[in-house]
Amino acid sequence: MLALLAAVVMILAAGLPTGYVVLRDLRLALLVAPLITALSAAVSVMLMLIVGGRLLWWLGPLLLVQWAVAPVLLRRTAGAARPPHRSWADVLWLTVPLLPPFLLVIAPPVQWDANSIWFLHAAYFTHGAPLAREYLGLPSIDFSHPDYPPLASSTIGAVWGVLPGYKLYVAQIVSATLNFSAIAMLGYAVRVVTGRAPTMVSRLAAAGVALAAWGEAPFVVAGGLSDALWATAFVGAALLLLLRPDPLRRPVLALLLLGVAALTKNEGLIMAVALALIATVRLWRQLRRAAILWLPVAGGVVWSVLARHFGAKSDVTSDSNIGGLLRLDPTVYHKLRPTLTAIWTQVGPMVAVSVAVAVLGGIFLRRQRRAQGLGSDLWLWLVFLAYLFFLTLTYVTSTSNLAWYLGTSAFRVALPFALLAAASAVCWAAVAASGGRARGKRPLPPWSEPGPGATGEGPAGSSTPAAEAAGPDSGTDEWPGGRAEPGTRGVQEAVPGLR
Amino acid sequence: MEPGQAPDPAAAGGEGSGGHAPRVPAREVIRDRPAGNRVARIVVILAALAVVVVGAAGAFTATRQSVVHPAGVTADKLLKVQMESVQRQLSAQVPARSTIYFSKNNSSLWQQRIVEFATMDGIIVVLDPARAEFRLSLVKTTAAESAGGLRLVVQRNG
Repeated sequence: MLALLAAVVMILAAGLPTGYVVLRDLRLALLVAPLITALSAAVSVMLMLIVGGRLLWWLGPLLLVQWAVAPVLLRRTAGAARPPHRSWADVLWLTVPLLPPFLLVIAPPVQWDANSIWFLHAAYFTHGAPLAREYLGLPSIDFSHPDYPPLASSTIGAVWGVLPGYKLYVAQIVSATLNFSAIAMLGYAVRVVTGRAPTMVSRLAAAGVALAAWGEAPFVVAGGLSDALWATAFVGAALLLLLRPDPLRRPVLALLLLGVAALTKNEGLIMAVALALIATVRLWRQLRRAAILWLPVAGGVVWSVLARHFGAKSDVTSDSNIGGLLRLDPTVYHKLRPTLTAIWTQVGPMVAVSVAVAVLGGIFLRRQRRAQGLGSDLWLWLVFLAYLFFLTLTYVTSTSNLAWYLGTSAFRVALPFALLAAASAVCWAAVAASGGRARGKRPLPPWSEPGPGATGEGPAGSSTPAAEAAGPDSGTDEWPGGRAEPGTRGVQEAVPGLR
Repeated sequence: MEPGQAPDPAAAGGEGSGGHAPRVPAREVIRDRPAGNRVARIVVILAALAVVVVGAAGAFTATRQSVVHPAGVTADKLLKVQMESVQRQLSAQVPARSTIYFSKNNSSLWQQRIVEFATMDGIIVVLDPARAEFRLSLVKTTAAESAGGLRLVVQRNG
């Protein structure tokens, strides 16, 4: 029990200073800290594999540097805006609803994939560079997807390095804490983008989407698996990048979540590429600033190159029948129907209702949505379609037995669909519940509340009179063919007839 | 009505307008139908609520399971005992950094668990028995002899 507590305290404490720099609030910093620890551990594993040494030799100094630099960064950015929604009530709404299902963390740590993939990788990361490199290319561990990115395993490996004995319960609680952190950040992302709705509606929306992280696989979050980790981080990043009026104004949290997705699973990396691409298209007027969106992708690509360099095999690339797809091989195309049926079985009805909500919202509430500073819902559905395309392609081109493949994975990998559908629906509900009214006279971007002594923001910050006058619809909040109306418009003016 | 299409003046102006109501864009007509808009809002909220409830089903299941079986279901508890026992036996009988071959006669669950536990001790699992220093297999035994009823048999190769 003491070891479990020590493990949680360690991953909270290690990432706390940087978390505080990112979110400027101790409560929110505690929520995001495990993800920062995990990103640091993932970077350390990559440095270990490239240069040599042991995981803790890299992670220790990296964390020390973060601890040393944090006060400097805080002083230099003392006047910067603080993030919204950081009250005790908000933090409790983000965490308390997650606790009852999270109690499953005390169940025995015997989940198949948790042991065969994440704990196994963590074990070889603890042995230092030479052995870790050897294990990556070892044919006897091909079953464990050694090419999977290292974020979750490196964090477990780091904790095992400090608390020796390879206790599986320790691994499980470390993994579950990472999942909890990512889910809470997803909830926070929903709270941020729906921040102009009535407070209770926005908090309920955040809690509702966060609870959807348990999806069709209740044991995934607390059982040592990483499907919820990448999926929640990814959808959180998507919300912050695609629905906020100016996502490049405060991009760090979104980038951090995108990095978590890219460094957790292969599908996370591919979807990070897709999201970076979609967000870049959305921000095409600020291409130079949008280049930063590709930083998390670069981290994932570095891992991918490293893993292949050391001989790690990927089931997606080595067992893929892309040639058959291109030759219009009927055996490939016959897999399409069972694949789509399996996905439909998992999330179909939920997605269908969400689509209906989106259509209704698009017809009746589109302008109210704009007035609330929420980006177009179509961006989220574009991400949804990109994932559907990628997932379907993976299944139909796989040479594995399809029934087995779908039966062992569809319920887990369908999670992003459920989260995107839920996020889309609650955003429309938040608009509907607002009755077209936003709190405050002028719809400022949700992350623009000035802190004490705020001095304004960067070049595109809406603290400049012109940008502020343009409101959240200006510039970035566009959809090809459906450009937001420019000009100075408050909510009442933008939506005449509504109180 | 299609978006952008001019509305019927009579419809836009309502009764008593005498057909002289000003032409308004379609978007304005949508805005000026408060009853339809209110119904749409209610439908959107209720449908979104349904989505959230369905989406949270897994969380409810997890909560129920953690309350009903706080220490896990019986099968999982037994598997945990077996895993801990096999992990201990492997550490005790096989030196770190050696190479082992694990019998293919055992289930894939145990093939993978042996690789996992071997990795923890820095032991390399090879697929070719001729390259291994030790050959391993799991046999059933009594719980009295070995916790969980599984005994790891280790034979030095050659």
